[in-house]
Amino acid sequence: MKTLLAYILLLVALPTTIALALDPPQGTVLLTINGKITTTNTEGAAQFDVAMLQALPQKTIKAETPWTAGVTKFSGPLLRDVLQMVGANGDSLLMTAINEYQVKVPVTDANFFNCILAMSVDGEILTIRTKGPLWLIYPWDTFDALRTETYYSRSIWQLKAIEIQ
Amino acid sequence: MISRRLNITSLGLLLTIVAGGVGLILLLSSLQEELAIQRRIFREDRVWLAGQLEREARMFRHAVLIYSEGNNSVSHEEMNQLFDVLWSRIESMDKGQLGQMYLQLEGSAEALQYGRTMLHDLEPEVAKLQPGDRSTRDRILNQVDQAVEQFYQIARRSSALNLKQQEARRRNFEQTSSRAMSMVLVIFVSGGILVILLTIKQRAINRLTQTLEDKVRDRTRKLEESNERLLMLSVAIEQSPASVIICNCDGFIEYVNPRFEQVSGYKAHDVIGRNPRFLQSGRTTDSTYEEMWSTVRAGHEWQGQICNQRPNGDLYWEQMSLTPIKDTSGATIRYLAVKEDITQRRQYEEQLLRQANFDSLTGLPNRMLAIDRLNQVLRQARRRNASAGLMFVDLDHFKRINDTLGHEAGDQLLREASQRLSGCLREGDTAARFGGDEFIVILPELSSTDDAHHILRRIIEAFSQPFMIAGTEIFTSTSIGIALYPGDGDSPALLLRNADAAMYQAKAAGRNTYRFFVHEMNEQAQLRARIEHHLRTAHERNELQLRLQPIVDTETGRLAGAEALLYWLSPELGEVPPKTFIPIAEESGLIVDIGNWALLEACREAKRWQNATGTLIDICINIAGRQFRDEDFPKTVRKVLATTDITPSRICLEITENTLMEDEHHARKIIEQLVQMDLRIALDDFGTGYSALSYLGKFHIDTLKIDGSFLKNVLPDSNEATLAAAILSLGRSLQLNMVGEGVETLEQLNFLRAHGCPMCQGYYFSKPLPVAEFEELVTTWETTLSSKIG
Repeated sequence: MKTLLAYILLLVALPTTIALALDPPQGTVLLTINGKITTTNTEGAAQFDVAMLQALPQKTIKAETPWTAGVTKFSGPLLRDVLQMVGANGDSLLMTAINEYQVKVPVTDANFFNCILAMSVDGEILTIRTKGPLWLIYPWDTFDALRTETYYSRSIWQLKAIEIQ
Repeated sequence: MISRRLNITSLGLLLTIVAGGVGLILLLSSLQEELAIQRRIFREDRVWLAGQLEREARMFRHAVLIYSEGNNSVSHEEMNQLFDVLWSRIESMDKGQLGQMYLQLEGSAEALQYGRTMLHDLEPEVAKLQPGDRSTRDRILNQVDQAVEQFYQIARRSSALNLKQQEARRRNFEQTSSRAMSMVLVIFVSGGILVILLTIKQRAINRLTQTLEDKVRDRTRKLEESNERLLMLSVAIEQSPASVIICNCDGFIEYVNPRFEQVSGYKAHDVIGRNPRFLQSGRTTDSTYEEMWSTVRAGHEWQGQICNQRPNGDLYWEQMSLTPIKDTSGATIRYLAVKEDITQRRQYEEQLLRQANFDSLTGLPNRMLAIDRLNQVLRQARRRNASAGLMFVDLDHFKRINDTLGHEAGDQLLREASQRLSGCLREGDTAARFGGDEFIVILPELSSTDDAHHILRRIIEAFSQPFMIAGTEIFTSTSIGIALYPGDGDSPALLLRNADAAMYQAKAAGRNTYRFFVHEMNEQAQLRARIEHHLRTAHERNELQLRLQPIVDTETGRLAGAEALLYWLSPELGEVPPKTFIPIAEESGLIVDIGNWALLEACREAKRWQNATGTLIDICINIAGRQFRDEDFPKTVRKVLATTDITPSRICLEITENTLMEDEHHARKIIEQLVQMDLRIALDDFGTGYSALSYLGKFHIDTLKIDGSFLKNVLPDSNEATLAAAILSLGRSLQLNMVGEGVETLEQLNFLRAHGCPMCQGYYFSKPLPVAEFEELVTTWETTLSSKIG
């Protein structure tokens, strides 16, 4: 009897866990998040394809950057939203690019600034050749103070993985 | 000067500081800019970029090698991705800000072009590369290596440039900062100097300010004081009880005060601008005005009295003080006249002059003028070697007249007496009222004492006639003393004193007479003064003693009573008999106390006697005039009777004729009261005074005490004996008890017996004895009696 009751309770508790679950990616995996996360869709990690990221609310940042000519329009989901989806609960994000470039970004950047994972520039979907498919963009249009080497160095392109630490 | 130099220096320093500050700001801002640039420069600079490129190229190379070996660890897609990474790197080499910088490097454009060409060449090769295709693989690798080599060379050049640029930047920074440091130093030094200069200046300013403040305060205080003084003065002038006129230098009025308006009767607006000449009355002499103006024009103050006229014609006198007011150079700019209305004062002065010298009642010169005159007379006499006289004239019994008839009558008597007195004098003599009822007469140039005698007699005679005052005939007389210059004194004071002493002597001689001063008089007067002096304390010091003298029945020689007499044993004067000190006590008023004390003691003694022996004794006690007239006398007697519980009928009060005559009406009243108390009254010293026998019937007299002087000569047919006999006969007819006094011999006793005098007293029987001795005498009286009464 006791065992039966425990199963019932487990069944009742399950839907909340299921609701937080992330659908597995249908297309090519663009981003893999692991580490201190509560929601996964593969073994110990959460993987995202283009569709999943595009399904999130898209934000735009229009700003000049050292790497582009003139005002450039970057669009993509908020880093915060992506972290929320995986239930990230760490302090910093170890980001890794395709060329194995790594940089540590404090979670507070994501919470405080509306940083986006740009997926398109001036309306064109980013590819690896154009520093895509994901490029972390800070809102330089809103905060001039972000125009320092610290933030420039955190603006990782060709992002492929985030480890929540 | 110091201040100006300081100012210029300070300004210079200030400019230096400002310039230094501006320079510093510019430098700092340029540094800021530099810092901003430094901050904005990436690690991804040219070297780093080259490094990245090389790394990405190696990753791609590695992937190509692994893939071409047919190892499944690297997929074609992964290899493609790394090719794309490499692509993106080369493609973005000249993009953006960094790209621009990169293009500045020598050969960078060619390298980029080479790189891009390589990528385009490699793209189809990479796409077709299959595992095992070594030739393709080698081509790819070769091309990649060449491109990497190209970029490396650029990177090496860039690195050298970078170092140079960094060095330059560092130098620039150091220069800038050292420049900034020197500017800071300059600012600090300048600021320090400026602060020191400013402090010095501030101190100087503080000192100056302090001095100025002190000066201002001092000046302000002086101003306030002088303002206050001005205000005070102007109020003082406005309210001055003196008239004030201020004229300009031409003599025209500029100001008058309210008092002027009151006194002169002119209004200020009527007189301002006019010459004060209009005030003139014509009474002031021209010479006065001339003197006034000459004094004032000479720059001096003029004072004097002038008579002015009011618009209504009234004249008034003013005491005026006219002062020229000078400016600092000494020139007269104003005239100040201060005037006091002295019209009333002048009137008073005239009146006072009269009052000061003349007696208002009699019109005679008063004491002041008299002494003045006396001085003058004495000076003349001294010069001419002549003699002069001074009389002191006193109206006898004036006080009684004044008391009974009133002051008006008294005043009238004084007026008439003064006229009578003046009428008796020679031309050149001066009669003056000296005060009260006393007059003095100054007699200049007495050729002999006869002259004086003549005048004195005339005066006595003139006063023998009665005065008619208020319809009543009044008899009065004068007592006159006279002192002569130079014999009796050479100063007014001495002459006055001696004339007074002589006058007193005349009074003592029974009044209505005159006396020349003799030197003994003065001695007597001195003795009298001594007596009076000691007498004042005698009573307190128990120096007074009651003595008793027996009164004896002339027929039987038996003791009938005793007369109580007061003796004074003065340590200074010795034993003073009553005859000497009683009149003095009476004059000084001491008699009232002394007499009452004697009365009480005598009654006590009688009572004691009565208690001791069981027999009653008659006691006669002397009552002085003044004591008798004292309002409280009957009351005092009643008190004594009550205290001692003595039988009043055994007490006999002795009064003198004079006492009765001083005020008959009053005396009668008193006597009646005493008689009602059952006391007996004796008339003492009968025969020495007026001996107005007619009075005897008027009073309730019980006993006559015949004065011893009548018994001096009891030889038959002597004047005194005849008088005494007449008196005794009269007494008998009036049924009066009689006591012969001063019996010293058997003849006298026999005379009294023969003429029916029942009682006597005297040394024949006993002198007055102290109480104890008297008592002793009494016990042996009977035994010694037979030999006495013969």
